[in-house]
Amino acid sequence: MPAGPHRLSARDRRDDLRMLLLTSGVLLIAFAVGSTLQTVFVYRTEHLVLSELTEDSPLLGERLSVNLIAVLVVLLVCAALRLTERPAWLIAAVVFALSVVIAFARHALQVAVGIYDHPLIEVSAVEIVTVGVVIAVSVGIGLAHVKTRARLREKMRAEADHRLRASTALADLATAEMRVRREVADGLHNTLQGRLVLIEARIAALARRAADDPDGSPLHAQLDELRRDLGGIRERDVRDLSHLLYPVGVDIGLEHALRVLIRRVPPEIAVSAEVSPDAERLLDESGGAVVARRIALVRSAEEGITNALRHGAATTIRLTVVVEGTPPRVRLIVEDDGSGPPPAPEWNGLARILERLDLDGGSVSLRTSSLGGARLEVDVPA
Amino acid sequence: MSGDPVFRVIIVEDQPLFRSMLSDVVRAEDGFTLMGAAESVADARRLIASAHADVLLLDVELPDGNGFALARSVRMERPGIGVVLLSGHNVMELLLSVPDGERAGWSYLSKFSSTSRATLVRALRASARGGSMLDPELLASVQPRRGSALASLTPRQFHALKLLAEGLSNAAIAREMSISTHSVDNLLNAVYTTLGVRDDGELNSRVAAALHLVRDGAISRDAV
Repeated sequence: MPAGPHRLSARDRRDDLRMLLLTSGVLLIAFAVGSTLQTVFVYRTEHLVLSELTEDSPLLGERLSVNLIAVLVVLLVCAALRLTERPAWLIAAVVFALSVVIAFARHALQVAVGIYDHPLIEVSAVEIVTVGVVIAVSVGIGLAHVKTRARLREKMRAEADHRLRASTALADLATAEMRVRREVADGLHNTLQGRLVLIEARIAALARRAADDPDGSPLHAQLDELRRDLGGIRERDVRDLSHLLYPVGVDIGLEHALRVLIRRVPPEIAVSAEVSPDAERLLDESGGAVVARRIALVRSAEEGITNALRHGAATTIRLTVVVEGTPPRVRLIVEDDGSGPPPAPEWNGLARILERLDLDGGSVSLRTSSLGGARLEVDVPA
Repeated sequence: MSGDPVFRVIIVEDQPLFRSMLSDVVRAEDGFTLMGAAESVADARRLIASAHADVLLLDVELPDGNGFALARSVRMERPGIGVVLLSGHNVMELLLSVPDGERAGWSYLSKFSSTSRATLVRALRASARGGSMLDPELLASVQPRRGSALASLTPRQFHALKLLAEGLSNAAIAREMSISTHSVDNLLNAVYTTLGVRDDGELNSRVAAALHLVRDGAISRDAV
C-alpha cells in the first residue's frame, strides 16, 4: 500500500500499535504492581520487613497475578482489535467496553481466588470503578501518545517531501537553464555561424571574380577586407558569445572541454590537463545539474588560468581533476609556477562561480602551490 | 578519371543551406556518388542502414545528438567506413578520444574550410581511402607548446608533421618541401621517435603523429 498522509504504511501501523501496547502496558503494569503493594502498605502501618512480606500477606501472589492477567487481557484485546487503526468513535466504544468488562471480570476473579470473601457492595463498586478508570486512562494516554507521534511523523515527512520537491524543482530549473543555454549557443554557432560562413564564401567568390576582372582590383581588395571582417566577427564575437553561454565541448565531456580550453593558452606557457577516468565517469551524465557542474569546473579552470597568466606571470600551468573522499567529490586543481596567490585575492570571476557552487554544495580554496605559484582547488559533489 | 574507384558519400548536416551546398559539391565532383543527405542522427541511421557508403560527411552538432558519437557507433559495425567531421567550432580534440588502433579514416574540417571545394574533396578522398586529413587552416595556426614533445621538433620536422597531418603522402610532402622522398622518410622517422609514436608503416601511426598537433599544439587567439 502506498504511504501517504491519509493511508498509513503497514510499517507505520505496526509501529503505532507497538507504541500503544508499550505505553499503555507500562502504565497498566505500574498500576497493577502499585495497587498490589498498596494493599500491603495500607493494611500494615508497622515497620515493613521485606522478608515478612509474603508471610504477612498470604494472597499477595494471587493479587498480583489477577492484576497482571487483567493487564494482559487488555493489551491482547487492544492488539487483536488493532485499536490504533480504528475510527475515533469505535476506539471510544471499545475502550469504554473494555474498561467495564475487564473491571468486572477482574473483580470476579478476585472473589473467585479468595482475595475477597463476600465483599460489601461499596468495596466492589470502588474496586470496579477504580480499575475501569485506570484501564480507560492508561489506554487513553497510550492512544494520545500514538497520535502525537503520528502527527510528528507526518510533519517530518511533509518537510522531507517539501525539501525533495524543492531540490527537484531546482534540478529541473538547472536542466531547463542548460537546455536554453545550449539552444541559444547552438543557434549562435550553428545557424548564425553557418550562414555567415556561406556569406563569406559568396563574398570570396565575388572577390575572385573581381580579381579576374582587370577593372575590378579595387573592388577585389574591398571585398576581401569585407570577407575578413565578417570572418573576424564570426570567429571571435559569435564564438566568444557562444562559449560564454555554453563552453565548447562541455557536452562531450570534461576532459574534452578542458583540452579545448587549454589549446587557447599561448604556446610559451607549458600547460597540461589530466582528468582521471573516475572523474570523467562521475560527471558523465547529460542531466542539467551534472552539465552545470561540468560548466562550473570548466569556468573555474578558465578563471584559474586567467589569474595565473594575468596576475601570477606563470610559465607552467597544470590542471588536474581527481575524485576524492566518500561520498565522492570531484576536485579540480589549477596549479602554476607564478608569483603565488595575492595577499588579498580578488575573487571577481570566482565569486560568481563560488556562489553557484555553494548552492550546489561545492567549495573553492586558493593557496600556495608546490610549483611555487598559486593553487586553486574547486570541488563539487559527484 | 577512369579506373579510379567511385566513392559513395552520405552527408549528415542539419542546416538546409549547408546541406545543399555540400550535396552540390559532392554531386558535381567526379569520382563521387551522393547516396543521400540526412538532417539528424535518426535520419542518418536509417540512411546508413539502407545505403552502402564509403565515407560519411558529418556535422558534429546535430539537433538530436552528436555526429561524432554517431560516427563512432557506425564505425563499430563497419570499421572500414571513412568519416569526415565538420564543425563550426574547432573541436579537433574529438579525434583524441578515438582509440589508437581505429584512428585511420578520420578527417576533420571546420565548416569554413568545407566551403572550399578542393579541401572538402581532398578530405573525402583521404577518409574514403582510410587516410586522414586535419583542417589545413586550423593546422596553420598551430604552434608547438612549450614543454611538450612537439617543442622538441626542429622547424623542418614540425613543418613535415603539419603536412602529414593535412593528409599529404610522403611524395606530396617531398614536393611541397622541395626535398627528396628519402629525406621525407628520414624527417618523419625522426618525428616519430621524438613523439614516441611507433611506426608500424600503417596509417594509424601517421594519424597518431598528427594528433600530437591537436593534443600539444597551441593556437593563436584569432584562429578559428
